[in-house]
Amino acid sequence: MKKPIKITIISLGSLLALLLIVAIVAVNVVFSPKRLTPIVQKYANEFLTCKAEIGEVDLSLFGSFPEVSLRLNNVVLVNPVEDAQSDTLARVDKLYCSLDLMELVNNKKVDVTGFTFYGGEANLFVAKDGTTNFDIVKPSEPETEESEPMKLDKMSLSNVSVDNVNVSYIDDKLGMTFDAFDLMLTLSSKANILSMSGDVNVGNFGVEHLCYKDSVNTGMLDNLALNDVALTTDGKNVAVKFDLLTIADQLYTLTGETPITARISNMRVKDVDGAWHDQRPVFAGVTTFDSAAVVMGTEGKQMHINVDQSTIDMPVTSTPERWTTTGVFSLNNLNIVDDHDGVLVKELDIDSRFVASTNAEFKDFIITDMVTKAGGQIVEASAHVELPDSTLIKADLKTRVKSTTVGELLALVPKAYKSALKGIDVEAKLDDADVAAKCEIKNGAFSLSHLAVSSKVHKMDYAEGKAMAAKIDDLDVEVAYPSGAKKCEIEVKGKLLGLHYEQRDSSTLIADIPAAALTALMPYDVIDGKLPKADATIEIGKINVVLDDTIKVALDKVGGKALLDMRSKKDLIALNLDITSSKIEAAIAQSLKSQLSNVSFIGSAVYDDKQPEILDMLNPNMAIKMQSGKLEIAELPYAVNISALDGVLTKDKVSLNKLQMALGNSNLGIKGIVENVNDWLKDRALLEANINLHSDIVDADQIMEIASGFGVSDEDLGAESSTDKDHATAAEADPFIVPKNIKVLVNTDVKQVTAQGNIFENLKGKLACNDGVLVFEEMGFTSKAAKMQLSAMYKSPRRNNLFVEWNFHLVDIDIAEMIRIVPDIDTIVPMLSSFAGKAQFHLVGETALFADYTPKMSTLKAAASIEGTDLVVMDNETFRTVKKYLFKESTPNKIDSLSVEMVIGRKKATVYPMLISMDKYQAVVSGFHNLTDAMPFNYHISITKCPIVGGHVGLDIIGDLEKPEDFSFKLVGCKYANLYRPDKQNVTQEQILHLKNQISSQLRDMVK
Amino acid sequence: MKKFFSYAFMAMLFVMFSSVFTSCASDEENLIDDNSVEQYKKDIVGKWQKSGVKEFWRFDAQGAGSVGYGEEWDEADDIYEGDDGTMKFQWDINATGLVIKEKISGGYFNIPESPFTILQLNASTLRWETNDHTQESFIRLK
Repeated sequence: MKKPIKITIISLGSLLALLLIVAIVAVNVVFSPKRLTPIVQKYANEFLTCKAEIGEVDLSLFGSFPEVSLRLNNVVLVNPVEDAQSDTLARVDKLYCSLDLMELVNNKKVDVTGFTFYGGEANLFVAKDGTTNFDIVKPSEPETEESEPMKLDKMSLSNVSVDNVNVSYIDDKLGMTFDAFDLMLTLSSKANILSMSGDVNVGNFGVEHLCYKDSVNTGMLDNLALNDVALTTDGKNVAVKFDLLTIADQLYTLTGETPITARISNMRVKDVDGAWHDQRPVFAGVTTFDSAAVVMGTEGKQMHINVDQSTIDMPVTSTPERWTTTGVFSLNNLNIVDDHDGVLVKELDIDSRFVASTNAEFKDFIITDMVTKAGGQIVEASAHVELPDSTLIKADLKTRVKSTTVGELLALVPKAYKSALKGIDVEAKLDDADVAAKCEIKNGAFSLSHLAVSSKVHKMDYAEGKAMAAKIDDLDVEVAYPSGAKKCEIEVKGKLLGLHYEQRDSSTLIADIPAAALTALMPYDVIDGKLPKADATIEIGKINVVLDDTIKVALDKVGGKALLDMRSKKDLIALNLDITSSKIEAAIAQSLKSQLSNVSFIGSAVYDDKQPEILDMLNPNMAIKMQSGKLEIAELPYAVNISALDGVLTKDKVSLNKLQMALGNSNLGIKGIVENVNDWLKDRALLEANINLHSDIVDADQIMEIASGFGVSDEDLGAESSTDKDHATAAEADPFIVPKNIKVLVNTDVKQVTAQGNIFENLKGKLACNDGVLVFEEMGFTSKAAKMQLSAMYKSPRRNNLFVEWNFHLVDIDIAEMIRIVPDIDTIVPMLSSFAGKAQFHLVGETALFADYTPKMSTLKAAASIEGTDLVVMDNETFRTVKKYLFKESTPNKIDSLSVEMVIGRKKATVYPMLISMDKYQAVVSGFHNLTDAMPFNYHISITKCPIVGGHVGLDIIGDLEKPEDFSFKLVGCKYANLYRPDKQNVTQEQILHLKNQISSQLRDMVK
Repeated sequence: MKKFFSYAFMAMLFVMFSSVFTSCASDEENLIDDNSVEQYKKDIVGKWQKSGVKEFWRFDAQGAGSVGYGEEWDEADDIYEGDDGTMKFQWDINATGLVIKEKISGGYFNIPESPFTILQLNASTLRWETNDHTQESFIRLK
């Protein structure tokens, strides 16, 4: 606005110059309009470079003597300039000019004492090249004695009046326009305008309408009125004082990416007392306005700020070094509405006082003692802002939010955001919260160099309807920047006492944390709104969680480090943990009770809340260690006591570096890998495991009891039926059901296994369970009965239809003990119980089983060989009877050797001819017996060596075991007289021996 | 079974003192000619029931076969054809007779092949003698 004033002054100066010419002419010669007008016209033409048209000039010498009054009507200055708004530079309907006649006559000095403009216009123009249409005064020529000019020494305008004048100013060079309509001014002054010194009293100054416009700004003022202004100036210093400046309406617009429109209504500036003295200001005055409305943004994305009756009182004092204001402002009924977010602030009253100062260069600003009350909240602040150059702003800010309550703070929460708080009740008392920050803006870019925040919350109650409630006794929060090793991170410290949390929706969760401390380091750019990445240190004394009154978890001394990263992977939260807990106790109703000690979790997880499954949701890669633990699982009849755990859990794999535990009577040391965990949980793959089992003792019965039926549903086992009354029904018996949906290979190294009351030692070999199939692969072990090797396969497709195939080798077997261990051997190899002593026994076979493990004879297929020497073959009483007739007294109750090969199938056991030798006797026995209830048999005995009869006698014995009295004995030919005489064997005998050898060699070859 | 052997030894005493001697028997071999082998291979295909008992043999043209003990296999044992444990075999006929090939324990062990001597085989009747000299007769069902 300085420019238009300057232009106005220049324009007025031009007109005054014209007046001066007219006055000189009038004073010298002319007095009548007829004489005066041409003279003035002539002088005007000489004085001005533009065309001047003067309608009429008359002069009054006596009306205001000793002043002379000159009146000009219809004065027009025409100065055409290309692109100017008009060829007419100025037009004045009536112009009055008063001169001091005595000064003029005596001293030939022109002393303008007043003038009046009434009606007219001025069209001022500056072209792009700087050419103006108001540079109309001819340059002065050198003075001569003949024509000594009259000098305009003083323009002490004691009475100036301007009325009904319009001014238009266009500056194409600066790209701006200025228009003033109906300009009105009355002033009286003893000041010399030419020297810009003296006192000026402005009686009235008024403009009906002012309009300013440049490429981006528009300003319009209506009805500006200023009364009783006392202005004093000496050309350098100026003082101004007035009672009231009023502007009825102001409208400002700023275009650009974020256009701003501001309207201020009925602004009043009262009691202004200002001065500009020695290059520094002093000011007092109070500004009030009835309302202000600011609209920022484009259509549909606007923010509307409205404030009612407001007052700004910013008196200014100054020293040579600094200008200072002790300001007070009051904004009433502040409303902020965002097109997108709705009402942000509603009916808020803000009162603020502060002391602000700046240096004279406006490069150093200090705000102190700022106290702002917004609603019920009080904020204290101070700031130091430096502007060392045009590209840099440095700020040092300190703020204190005074002790308050959450309720008062929530009152400040924008209404638009209060919808998010719907149903939320918060009550808490807050201590003073301090915020200190140092920041700078360089080339428009914000950066923070220091930040310190501290806040304390007491007795916080937080509730979301009936669904959630939380209570905190005390919460201390501190934020500091810069922090971290590289001094480029933000540190957040929190201390919490007495957290009680309850969630009651579809499930009930109750958590208590008596004390906790958290320290987190975050990158600086979270301030810019980037997602956080926090490096946290956690110390929690105790955590108690109760879920649905059934799940209870208690953690003691939880501590460690956690890295939370929400930015590296879109929509995911990456978490690195190094956390320990001295004790974790968990219970799930009656189904699980656990107590774990010294547990550590080291590793990472990536949280994806879009995933429905827990492992997909967490995507863990976590090393878990535990020193001891106890699990009591309802489905397990025995507690699991863990003495060491060292493993790594990932989404798909569990790597067990060490798991040492006691389960019932068993001690288990497990090392290995479990894979397909995630797919198995989704029923998409088998759970695969390859583990090594080291143990001092395993109770196989207990382990089988635990593992039986794992992953098998009743539907999998199908309908049960049993028509055999001699066998327990499926419902009564409880056979081992092979787990399904798993594929487990166990490399066993067990010192002692107990099973069915037997003890086996040094069990080594592979045990595999593959989706319902259990395989023992070349498993070796020993007992006091024998050294054993077992390969076997066991399936349980139905509870009453089990299936087993085996490859069983017993070396150095104690026959009686072996039959005690495996009673079914007596059924398969009935004559085995007829011997006592040690032998080698090889048995390969397969059969379906009833639920009580009784073989289904219709399915039994087997082959066996028994080789032994010095076997006791009869009970002693029988032997003593026989010995009387056949043997010497010293003959022991033993057969020298025994070699039995037999095949079982189609409900029949076939015994291939076997040679039995005792003392001087030798016989070959062969035959078969049916594996039915009565076990009918048909055997043949060939006596091939006998000292009494010489041999070569045969006997067929036929019957069934249930009716021994009906046994049929029939002497027959000796079938096998030459069986063991190679030189006399026939083809059939050769074939029999070949079959025997096939059986025994195949079976022996299976022993590893 | 201990009783069985006690009785057997008592019987041996009886034999020894009875002074009734019988000469040892000798086995003869009766080989089947090629034409008969081919004819038998065709005739044996089908389902046969053992005379007087619920024992069913099925011989498939492709050389497979099975033995069952009931309509569906063996109801008494609560087991059905297709279950593990049902008695399956491969068969062949050569000059020495009907060879039944059986494997057990997942194929680890082959039961020694001992041909059955075919005594009679036609459209309705099958009769054989097993390697333990038991004669068994069948009638064709299918």
